[in-house]
Amino acid sequence: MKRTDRISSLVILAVCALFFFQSREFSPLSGLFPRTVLVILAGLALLLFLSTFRRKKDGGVFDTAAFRHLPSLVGLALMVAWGVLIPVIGFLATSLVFFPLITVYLDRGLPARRLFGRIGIALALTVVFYVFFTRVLYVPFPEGLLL
Amino acid sequence: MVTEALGLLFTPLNMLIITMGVAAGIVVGALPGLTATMAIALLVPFTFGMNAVHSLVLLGGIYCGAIYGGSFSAILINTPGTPSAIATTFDGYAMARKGESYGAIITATIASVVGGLIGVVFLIFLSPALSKAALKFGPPEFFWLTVFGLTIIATLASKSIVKGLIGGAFRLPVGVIGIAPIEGAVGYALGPGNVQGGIALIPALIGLFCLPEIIGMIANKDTHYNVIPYKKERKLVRRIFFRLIKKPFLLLRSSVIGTIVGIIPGAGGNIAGMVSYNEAVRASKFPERFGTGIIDGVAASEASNNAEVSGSLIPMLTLGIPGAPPAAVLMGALLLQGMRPGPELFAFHGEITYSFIFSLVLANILILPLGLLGGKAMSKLITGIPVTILAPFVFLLTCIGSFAINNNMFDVYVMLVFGVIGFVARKAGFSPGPIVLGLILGSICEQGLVQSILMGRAKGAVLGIFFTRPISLILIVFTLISAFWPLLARLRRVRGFRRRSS
Repeated sequence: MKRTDRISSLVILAVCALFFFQSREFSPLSGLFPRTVLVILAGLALLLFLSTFRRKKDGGVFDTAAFRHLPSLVGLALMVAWGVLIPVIGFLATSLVFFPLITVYLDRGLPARRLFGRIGIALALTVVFYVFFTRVLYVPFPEGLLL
Repeated sequence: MVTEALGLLFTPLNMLIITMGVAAGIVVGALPGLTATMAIALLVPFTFGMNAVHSLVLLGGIYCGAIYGGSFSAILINTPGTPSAIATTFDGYAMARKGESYGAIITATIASVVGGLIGVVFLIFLSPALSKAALKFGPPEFFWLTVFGLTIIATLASKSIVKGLIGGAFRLPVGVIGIAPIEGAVGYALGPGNVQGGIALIPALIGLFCLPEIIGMIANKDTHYNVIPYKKERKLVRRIFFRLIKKPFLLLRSSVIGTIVGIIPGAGGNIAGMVSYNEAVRASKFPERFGTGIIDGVAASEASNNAEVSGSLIPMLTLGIPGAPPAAVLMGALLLQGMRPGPELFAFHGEITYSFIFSLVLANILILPLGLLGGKAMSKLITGIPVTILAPFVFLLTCIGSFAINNNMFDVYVMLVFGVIGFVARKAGFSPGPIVLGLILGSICEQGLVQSILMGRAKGAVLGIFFTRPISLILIVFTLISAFWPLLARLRRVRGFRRRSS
């Protein structure tokens, strides 16, 4: 946890510096709140940084398991890619690809028959939701190269 | 106003919406990994097109249902469905292991209904009085109130005070982007474009709450839950009802504790349940039996966490300061509907506000039939839905929800960015509660500060405006006590230790 706290406090200090630099064009009144909070935030980050040197032993364990847990990371990457590609390919097409893809990736140990069943559920849910939102609720979904 | 509110509420459509909301809430709450905050955050964008009463009634039903629903997985698989049900596992699961799972569910259901209704009574009677008192609040009072709220969330909602405070102050990089509330200065927009209008709150909340939980579901997808069988017994409902009726103080005390904890900004249902359970043990004639599977433990936790629902709405509706993260997201729904929480909510939108409050009475009553009849289905549902379908499905909803608010892809990107930030922050020990409450309180704080300075300049006493008004002084005292309480508690512990050792 010590190392994580050090890294997070340094990241927060860097963000504070960036935002403080950005605030130079503010008038004294509109810059008052951001600058005050930035100073407080930087102070707290410094406190967190210094506190890591005072700890005799590392009490807590940083939850690195989540970062080393491959399915979580691949799942997160697939979901981010899904969201980013929506305006490029279109909402329906992207979802028809990524929803079953994530299911297949997470269920890769399953027997083929059950896996196909789950792919069917994933495709059906996507189509049902697409039809419900576009035809019933009239929410226009983003379209790209495809639907 | 009350008659008009009841007229607005009692329509067949509203009855259907409340029933659907409570049922959906119970399902969400019962599924480990899905929380009340997440369910409300996900649904807020879809309620945008509804009228205000339908929207609030639905979200209120989901809030009540989800907090109760958490008891199912707490009792049947020893895993709280929502954090509020942590204390329910202590005796609920022990009862289930003794073959009394149905009894535990009945106890949780009756206690939840009683607690929920007592909480709503407080909400009905305290809110108008508080909203009248809030009319005396000017910008300096709102400034100090938000500072007080921020110090409380930081100390209560996080294991580390410094990390809690950092979480609360995290609002700055988000809230300052866009046009400033005073003077209209454009801040941190990094050039003209989507961020000039500021970062939309709801997609940020959806990202912060939903994406980390989806990843959590994936990480725990191989966890095998042993669901304890759920067997119905004849006349058990009546027997447990009469046993609970003989413990009025337990139910009343737990409900009052839940309501009070709910009113305190940042302290959620988990704290309410734990405090109430602890008090039930202390007040009991047989404290040693707690944890072995007795109905008192289940009733204490469940009455308290359901009373906390209404408690958390009291400061949100009257002062615009949410008592718990789900209430913070509900506040986002109010703002989306053009209703600003605070005194003007009761003055300008009285009928809608009272309809919402009265709908919580119905929602709590509906828990009884839905919980008792749907218990069997719920026990199957807990392990019946594969995470490999549920996780991408919830993500699909987060994308649709983020997009549907403004029909803007930029909001989906905001959700993704905040989701990744939320995931990393959670793993680094920063809990999302202070971050979300900070996001909401921050803008009120900024407005209060700048408007107070303008008022002070007009009067020729900038400092005086902050430090001489009576309500401000009371709030300053509260803020100081809250900020230094952890330090004082530590000093007391050290002194006590020294005294004992000498």
